[in-house]
Amino acid sequence: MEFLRSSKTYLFIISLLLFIIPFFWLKPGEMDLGGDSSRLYFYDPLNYLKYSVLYATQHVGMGVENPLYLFLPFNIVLIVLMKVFNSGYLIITLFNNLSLAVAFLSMYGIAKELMFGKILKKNYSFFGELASLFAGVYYVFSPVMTYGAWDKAIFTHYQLFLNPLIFFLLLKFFVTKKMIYLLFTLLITFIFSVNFSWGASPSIFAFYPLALFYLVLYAIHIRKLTINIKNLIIFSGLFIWIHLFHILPLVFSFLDKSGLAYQKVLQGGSSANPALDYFLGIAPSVKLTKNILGLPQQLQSVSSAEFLFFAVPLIIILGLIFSTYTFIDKEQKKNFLLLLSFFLVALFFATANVTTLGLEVYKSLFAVPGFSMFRNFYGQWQFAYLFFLSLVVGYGFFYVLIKIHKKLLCFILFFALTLFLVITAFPFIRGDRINLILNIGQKIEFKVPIKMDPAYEQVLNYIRKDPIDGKYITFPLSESFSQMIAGTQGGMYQGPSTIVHLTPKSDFNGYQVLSPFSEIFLSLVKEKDYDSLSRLFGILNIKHIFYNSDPLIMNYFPDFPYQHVRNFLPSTQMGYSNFINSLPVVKEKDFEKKYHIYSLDNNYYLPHLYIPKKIQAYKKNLDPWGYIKEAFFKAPGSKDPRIVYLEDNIIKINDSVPKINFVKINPSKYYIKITNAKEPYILVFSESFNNNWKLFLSNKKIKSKTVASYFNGEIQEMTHVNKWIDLSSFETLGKNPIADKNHFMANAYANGWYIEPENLGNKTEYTLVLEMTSQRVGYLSLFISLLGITVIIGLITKNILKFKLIPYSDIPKD
Amino acid sequence: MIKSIITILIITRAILVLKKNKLLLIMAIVFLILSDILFMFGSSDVRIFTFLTLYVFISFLYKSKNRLTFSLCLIFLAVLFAEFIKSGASEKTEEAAVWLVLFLAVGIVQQWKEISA
Repeated sequence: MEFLRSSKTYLFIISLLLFIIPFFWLKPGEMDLGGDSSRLYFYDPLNYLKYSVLYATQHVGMGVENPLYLFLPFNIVLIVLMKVFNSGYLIITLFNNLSLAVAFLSMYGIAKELMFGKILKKNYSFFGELASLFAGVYYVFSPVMTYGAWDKAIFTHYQLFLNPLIFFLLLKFFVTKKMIYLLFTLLITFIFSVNFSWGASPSIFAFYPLALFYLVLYAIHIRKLTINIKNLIIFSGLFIWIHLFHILPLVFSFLDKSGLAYQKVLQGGSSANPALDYFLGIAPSVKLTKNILGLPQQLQSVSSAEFLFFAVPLIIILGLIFSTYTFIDKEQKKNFLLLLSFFLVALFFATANVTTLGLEVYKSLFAVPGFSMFRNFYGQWQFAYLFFLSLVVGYGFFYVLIKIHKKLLCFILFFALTLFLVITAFPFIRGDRINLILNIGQKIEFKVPIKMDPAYEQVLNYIRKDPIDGKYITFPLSESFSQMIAGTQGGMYQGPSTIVHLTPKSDFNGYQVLSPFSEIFLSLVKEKDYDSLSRLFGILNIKHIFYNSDPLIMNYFPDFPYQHVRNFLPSTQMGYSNFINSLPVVKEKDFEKKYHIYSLDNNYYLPHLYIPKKIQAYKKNLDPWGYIKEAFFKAPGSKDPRIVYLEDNIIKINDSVPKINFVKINPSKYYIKITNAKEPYILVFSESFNNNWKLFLSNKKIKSKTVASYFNGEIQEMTHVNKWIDLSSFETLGKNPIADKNHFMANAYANGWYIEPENLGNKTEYTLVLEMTSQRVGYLSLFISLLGITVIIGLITKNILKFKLIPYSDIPKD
Repeated sequence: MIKSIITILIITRAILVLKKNKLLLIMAIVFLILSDILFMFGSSDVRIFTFLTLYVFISFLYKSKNRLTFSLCLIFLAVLFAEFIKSGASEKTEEAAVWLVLFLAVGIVQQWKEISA
C-alpha cells in the first residue's frame, strides 16, 4: 500500500482521468466544427492548408489580402496526425485530452516549484505536494475554465494549457538556467504560432507581461538568482526569427497601408472612442464578487451550491493568517504575497469596476495606443486572472494544511474540495460544453458536433474539380458569413464557408460577405429584378450557385443566421427553389436531392479577368455602413456584359478589344496572354482592389488547354493549376510593374488597369503576370522561419544527446 | 506663538487619547465600513478612501499586525457571503467585495513590511 501514500500516484491518477474525460464528449466520428474559426482544419487539414493557409489572399467573396501562414505549423502537425489516425474525431479528442492533462500537470509543476523552490522543510513536503495537486485540479475544474469558450473553441482557446506550460518552462529556465527549457518553449510557440501572433495579442498582452514580470521578481527577490540576460536575448532573437513567417507579412502590411492589419488597427478598429464605448457598455455587467469567488461572469448561476465557492477566498485569507504563524522561510511567505499582488492586478484588469477611481484609471488606459484591444476585457483577462487565482489558492491551501498538520485530516480536506470541484464541473466532464444545442426550443434541436454528410463531401470534391475560375454563391444566404450543413446524426455545421476553406473557389455565403453590395442585392431580390441580379452576379464573377435544399437547415432556425435576410429572401426551401429557377441558370448537378449546383448563363457571366468593351460612369453613393445605395449596373444599354463601371469617366477605349487567354497558377498569381492589342484597353480583375496586385511582363508562353471560352473566343480560360511555389515564383523580382499608375478601382470593388501600347513597347502580343506581390514576402519569411526552426530542432537534439551522454557515475547521488 | 503651542498640545493629547483606545477606534472604523456596505445608498469613493485612509493611519499609529487586517477581511467575507446568499451579486455585495479587496491589498503591504523587518 506504499504507492497509495505517494503523491506521484495521485498525480498519475488525476492526469490519467483528465486524459480520459474528453473521450466522453464526442461520439466516434463526430467533430465539433463551426464557430468563428470554422475548425475545418480538424476535418480536412490537407485541403485547409492548400486552399486557406498558403496564400497571401483569402478567397472569401471578393477576396481579401489576409495571410494565414501562421496556421502553417499547426496545420502541418494536423496533417501528420490525420495520416496516423485518419479521424478528425480522434484528433479533436487528442487535443482536448492534451489541453486538460497538460494544463493540470503544468499548474502542478509551477505550484510545486514555487512551494518547494526554497528548500522546503521535509515535514512540510506532504502539504506542498497536496497543495500543488490542488492548484492543478482547481485550474482545470474551476468554473471559469469549465464554463468558458469550449464550444466551437477558436484557436486562442489553447492558451488554457499554453499559458501554464510556457510559464512552467520559463520558470524552470530561470531556476536552472538550462537553455533546453527555452528551446522547448520556442518549439511550442512555433507549433501554436496562432497563439503568439497579432490575432492573439489581447491574450498575449494580458498574460505574458504579468507572468514575465512575476518571474523576474521571483528569481531576483525570492530565489536570489541572477538572470541570464544573454540567454534571454538569444531566446528573444530566436523567437522573432522563427515567427518571422507571420511577423514579416504583418510588418509589410503596416508599411504598405493596404493590408487588413493596417486597416483594422489604424482605421476605426483602434480608435479609442468606439473601444471605450464598448468597454463602458460591458463594464457594469462584470461583477467583482463573481471574480473573487472564481465564478464565470457569463452565467447567472453555476449551480445551486455556488455559495460554496466562498471557500476560494476563505482559503486565501486563512492561508494569509496562518502563514504568519508558520515557521517557514520568509522568502516563501514573500512569494505568497508577491503572487497575491499579481493576482490583485489581474483581478483588477478582469473586473474594471473596482471603485469609481479604479474605473476612471481603466478608462484613461484607453488613451494608450493599442489598449483598445482590451475592450472586451473580461474575456481577455480571465485566463491570466484564473492562472494567478489558482496559484494563490494553492499557496493558501498549503498554509491551511500546515496549520491543520494532521495528514489524514489534510487528505480528507483535499479530497472533499476536489470532489466538490468535480461535482460542480460535472456538466463539463459529461461534455455539455461541447454538445451545445444551436437552436434551443425548436421542434428538432441540433447539436454542434457533426458527422459530415458523405453527399456533401461529394459536393466539395466536385467543386474542387470544377475547371472554371468562377465564384460561387451559396443559398440559403445567411445574414452573417455562416454556412449551415446538417450532419448525419443530428448535428449541424454553422460556420464560415466550407467552399472557401476546403476548395479553391470563392464563395459568397452571407449578407456580410456581399459587402458593399449587400443591401443592393437584397433590394433587387425583393423587387424581383432578376436581370439586374444576374448582372450583379456577372460583375462579382459568380458562375455557380450552390443550393442546399435540406429543409433541416432552414425550418428549425427562425432566428440566427437568417433573421434579417428573411425579410427579403425566401423564408422556405420551396421559395428558394422558385427564386433560383427565376434566375438565368442551368442546373449542373444534383447530389442526393439535397445539394444542387447551378451554372449562370454566359450572357451574364463575366470571367475573372476580362477586357470591357464599354465604360459606364457611376456615382458611388454609400450608406453610413459602407453599402452601395444604388444599383448602378441596372439597364446598361448593352446586351454584352463586358462593361466596366468607373467613378471618373475620363478614359476612352475602343470597341475592338484584344483577345485574352488566362491561366490561374494559384490564388496569388495568373498568367494572361494578350493578343491583338493595338489600342489602349482596360483589364479588369474581379478581386477586391488592392495595391499589391501588380502586372508584369513575362516571357512565359501559355501552353495549357482551353477549358472555357466566352464571347466568341475573345476570352478563354486555360487549364488552371494550383501550384504554391516553383522556380518561376520569383520571376517578377526586380521587374517594374506595368501600368501601375493606371491601376484603379473598377465596378466599385475590383481591380482595373488602363493599358496603353506604349506601356509594352507597342507590342501587340505578349504575356502578362498578374501577381499579389505580398506573396513574395510570404515565401521569403517562410523560408527564414523554416531555417530558424531547423536550427532550434538541431539545438534541442544536441541538448538531448548531451543529456544522455552524462555518465551514470556523474549523476549526483542525492 | 501661544496659539501654536496650544494646537500642538491638543494634537499630542488627541494622539495619546487615540493610542489608549485602540480597540474602540478599530471597532468604530469597522462599524463605519459595515454601515457603508449595509446601510448607505450607492457606492462612494469619498467614503471608501476616507475610511481606508483612516484605517491605514490607525494601523500605522498602533503598529497593528497584518493578522488584524486579514481578520477584518474574514468579517467582510462573511458580509459578502450573507449578501450574496440574500441577493446575489447586488450593489451591497459588490460594495463588500470592494472592501475585501482593499483590505487584502493593505494586509499584503503590512505583511510584506513585517516579514522584511
